[in-house]
Amino acid sequence: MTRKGVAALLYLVAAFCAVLDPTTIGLILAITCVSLLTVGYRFRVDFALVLSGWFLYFPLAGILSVLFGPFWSFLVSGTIIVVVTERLSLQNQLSFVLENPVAIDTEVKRLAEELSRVHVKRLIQVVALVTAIGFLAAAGALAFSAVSVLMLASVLILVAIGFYATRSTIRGPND
Amino acid sequence: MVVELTITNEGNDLERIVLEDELPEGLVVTRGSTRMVCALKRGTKATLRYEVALSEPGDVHFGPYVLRIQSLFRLSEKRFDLIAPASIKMYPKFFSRRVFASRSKTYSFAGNAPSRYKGGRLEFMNIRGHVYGDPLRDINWKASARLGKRLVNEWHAERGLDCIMIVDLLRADIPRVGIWSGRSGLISSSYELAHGLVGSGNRLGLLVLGQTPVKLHPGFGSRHLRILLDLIITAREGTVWDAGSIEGFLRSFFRKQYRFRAGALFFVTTTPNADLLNAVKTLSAKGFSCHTIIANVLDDEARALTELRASDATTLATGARVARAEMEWFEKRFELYSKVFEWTRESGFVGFGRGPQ
Repeated sequence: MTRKGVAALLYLVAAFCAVLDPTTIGLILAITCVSLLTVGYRFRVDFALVLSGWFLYFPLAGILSVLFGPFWSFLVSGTIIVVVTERLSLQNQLSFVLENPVAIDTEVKRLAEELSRVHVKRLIQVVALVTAIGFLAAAGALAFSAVSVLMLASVLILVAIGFYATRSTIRGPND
Repeated sequence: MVVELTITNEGNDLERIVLEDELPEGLVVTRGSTRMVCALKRGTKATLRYEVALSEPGDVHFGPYVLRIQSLFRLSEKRFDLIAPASIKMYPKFFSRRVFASRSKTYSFAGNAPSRYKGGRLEFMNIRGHVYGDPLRDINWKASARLGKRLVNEWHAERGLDCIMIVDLLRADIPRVGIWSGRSGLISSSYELAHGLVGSGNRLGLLVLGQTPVKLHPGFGSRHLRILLDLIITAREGTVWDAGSIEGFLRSFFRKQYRFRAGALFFVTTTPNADLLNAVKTLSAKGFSCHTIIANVLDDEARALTELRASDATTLATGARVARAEMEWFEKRFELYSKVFEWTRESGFVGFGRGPQ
């Protein structure tokens, strides 16, 4: 999916939130999301694009609670937002190469598309991991106290993120 | 021009890298992108490739580029500012008009500087008997055969004039619209003038007003012309050295020419203005032979404005008329103290030598 496609998807989600969420705050969050998305898309600002998605976290969770219940809807909403904004962010970076009318260097285009494919695979893995953790947490909550499972999960997530963020052994000329 | 920047990964696999080249001022990307996003496995290479064009003659230096090594989801990033030094020098396009086909006499002046062309054959003077040391090519074979003794032709020795070209590269005097600027026209006209003067056997010096004063003593030949052109191209626009400082430079740097009032001064500008007029008036009063070259870039400017859609056709036509009237007004004032030439990109120098005789 191209940058335009992902952005359109986010616009669609924002429109759903604005229509289906009955509260004023939901509407304001959806409008903020659309504004940030427009600015980020127009001027290719990564931060604005990612932030725009996170404004939909609560309204989307509220809407999804009809399908998944009040507890799981937050996890599903968060996962959707992470996946969509991460994809949008990457597409935004790639757009300098793929959507530039004068950028017709085939080698650079091939490398960018290769990266895009790897990114999609990794996002699918992340979704699978989140689903698995969700099920494990649900199973754990049956056996143990929900609070202790939540705390353990939080710690594990932090450790996982820390490990992921620092695992790459990047060495440069100054190291 | 194609710019290529190749990076090789000699370490571990990299999930995501962003390579971005910082484009120097004055360059426009015509093809490709200055940014590359990709993954780079161990031992592989990736090449960032793009084409650039210079909007005007100049000297640009490629400096640092930024390499960002990231994790796939950008949760970690390391930034490296690396240097890949390179430079591009673009010279003005020169269409030979009336001065290039041969050694043109268009700009010839009977100065007192002996020409570098030895035995200059400017004008036939006399026939005399051959003496030891006379060059073989001067022997008049027909006359020698008729009279039975070797005779040689005598010529007036060719002499050139010491000229000093003063290029007005002051920021306020260079019209600018978007990425277009009158600098290109100014450099082209200066080069064409320099080519004509040097090609005619004159010695040419240079003084560029602007950021830093660029000075070159008068000299002959194509090598000198090349040095002169390089100096004009690399000169920076600025506000520091203006028309008021011309006489000071003449006095301190071009001492010989200043002391004997030898040679001619050529003022090259795109925008004739009161400061320059004042300098011409002062130097003319002090005995210098002054010439003013006005590089007319009004058409180019109008084209740039049209491309930018900065104004509608009526406003543009009115503006062009006003600008033309202003230029003509200044031309008339300059004609009181100097010979005025006008240069256009299409037809070169026009309006030769209007002014005091």
